[in-house]
Amino acid sequence: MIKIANIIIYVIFATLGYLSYQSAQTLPEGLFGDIGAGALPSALGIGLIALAAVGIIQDVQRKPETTRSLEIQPRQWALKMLLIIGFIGGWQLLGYFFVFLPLFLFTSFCFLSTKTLKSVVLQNALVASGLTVGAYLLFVFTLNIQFG
Amino acid sequence: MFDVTMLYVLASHLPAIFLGLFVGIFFGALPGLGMIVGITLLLPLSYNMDAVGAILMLLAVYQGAEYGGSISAIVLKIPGTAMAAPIMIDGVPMAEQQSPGKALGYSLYGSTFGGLFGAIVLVLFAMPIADLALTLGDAEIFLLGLLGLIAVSGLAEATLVKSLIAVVLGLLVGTIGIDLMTGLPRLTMGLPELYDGPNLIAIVVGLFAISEVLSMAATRMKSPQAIDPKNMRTNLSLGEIKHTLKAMLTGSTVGVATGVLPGVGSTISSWLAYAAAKKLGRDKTLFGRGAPEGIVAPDAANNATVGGALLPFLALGIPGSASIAIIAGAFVIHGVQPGPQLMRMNPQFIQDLFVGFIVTTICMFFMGRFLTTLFARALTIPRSILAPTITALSLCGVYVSSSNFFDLWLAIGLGVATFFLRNMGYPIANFILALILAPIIEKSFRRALTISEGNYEIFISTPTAFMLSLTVGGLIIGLVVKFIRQPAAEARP
Repeated sequence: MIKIANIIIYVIFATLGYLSYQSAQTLPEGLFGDIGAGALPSALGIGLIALAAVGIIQDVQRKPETTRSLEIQPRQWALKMLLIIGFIGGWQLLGYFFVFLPLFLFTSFCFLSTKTLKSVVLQNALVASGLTVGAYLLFVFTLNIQFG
Repeated sequence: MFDVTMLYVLASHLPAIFLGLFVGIFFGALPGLGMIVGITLLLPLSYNMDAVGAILMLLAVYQGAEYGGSISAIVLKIPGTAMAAPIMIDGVPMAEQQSPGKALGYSLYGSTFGGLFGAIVLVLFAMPIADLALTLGDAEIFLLGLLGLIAVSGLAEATLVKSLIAVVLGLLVGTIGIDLMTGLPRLTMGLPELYDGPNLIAIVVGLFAISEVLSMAATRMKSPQAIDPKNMRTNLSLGEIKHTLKAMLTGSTVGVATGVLPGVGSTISSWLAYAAAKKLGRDKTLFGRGAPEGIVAPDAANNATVGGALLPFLALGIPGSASIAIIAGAFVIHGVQPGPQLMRMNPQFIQDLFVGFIVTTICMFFMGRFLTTLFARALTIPRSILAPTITALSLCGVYVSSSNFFDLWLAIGLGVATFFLRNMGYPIANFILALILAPIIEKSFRRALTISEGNYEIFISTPTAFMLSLTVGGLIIGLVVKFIRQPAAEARP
């Protein structure tokens, strides 16, 4: 599994290298000895393709039993990602940062907590509120930054 | 050197220093988080501070985290940072035989001694090195930057290919934005948000904070370990301090020497210091059974590394580690270009920085003396509280730095990518170091070629350039040999 993931990532890097090279080719050459703005990105693009190719060859030759599997809780990870995306997305679309912040904190605390006791939920709500007030005092009151 | 104005400047920076130390010791103590997450979280705050205060705050995080790592190593038997691992060898037996406070006391005195030693070396040697650096041309600066990158690539624990890919990616991202020599936008994909290059704070937050939080979310959230914060008094008698002076000096010397070398860092220095202290110790049989020298030497080395790592950065403008690379970001944010010109043109800034750095170490001692119990209690904070708090704080920080949602999404995207890449064995420190070094390397390379009208002989035209070119060539050959000898089957995924 990890071998395939490795190869996929190498292919992504090779594509990135190719795109960088292509993009850098549109830049004009330098004058008076200067190598030009596109020289370094071009060279790095080629370097990335070459390294990715070497990586693919190494991985193809690698014995499968030497690979380490990723120890990830996919459901937990995906939910955490959704919470982050929901927090930023909601804040960007609707504003009300100081509404979304405690909501995000509270739901994340409850979701990641191993205990579901009422006292823990109450504690989570208190910590989320406290942190929100702290953030307001620090960013808005002290640093005069508007979050929308 | 010391006058009333400086006292005023110092006093005005004390809150920033204490905040940095608090965050540093706190994040250093929490296993898995470490100093880079601490520095990352405070970097956005530095936007609203003056340059000296901002940099001192971040250096305080660095110093504090080096000591903080020992707290969990001694109290929980889990090193808070990788460099605190050797402290466990003697710290844990001493905590069991005598008291955790005694072991933490040795750790604190060692850290303070090392920090002060590193600061003194920095004060004594930064100016002479900067004077020497003023004689260096663009060709030499390019070669020095390249040397740092190659050393970092070769020393990374990852496979060479992955290590080099991280470097190339860092350099590539470092070229995004308007080219300063031609004024043309490069690799910006037509996005105006990228014309000044990607927001450094968004990158750092994504790379270190978001990816770490995602790692925490991806693993099962364990209940925090119960600890007994008793016997935490970090008192040492004069005799006990005198007994370990030699080990502190040994550790500090090792720390400074390894700190100067790019990419070596505290992890190697603390192990080297432990080995050196054992070799020079009066009774080697005590090592591993709670020898004070086994605690003070690696701790002194860890903190001395900070001063050592700052030496090439301030004198030459070339960061040698990921932490210094992020601190370099604070310099960039405040429009300060580290290097020999800064030392010459802005001596007041450097003087404030040096004195502030010494004060930081002294403040760390007092903070450690009086708040170690509090930091030990911090180890009981559940991860379910820490992870979302770090996420929210770091995202707030990104927004503060640019008031732009593009940067928030950039941080999230990079966080997700880094989470996977880290799990696949890519060294993220290489990426950030290359990113910071990219403009230095490119600008000096192109300027050197413009001066020589395209003649590549400029890179061997002076004795210094010739020696540096030889070293770079030697290191490249070393990398090739390492690559050939590194069997694919043994390589980490």
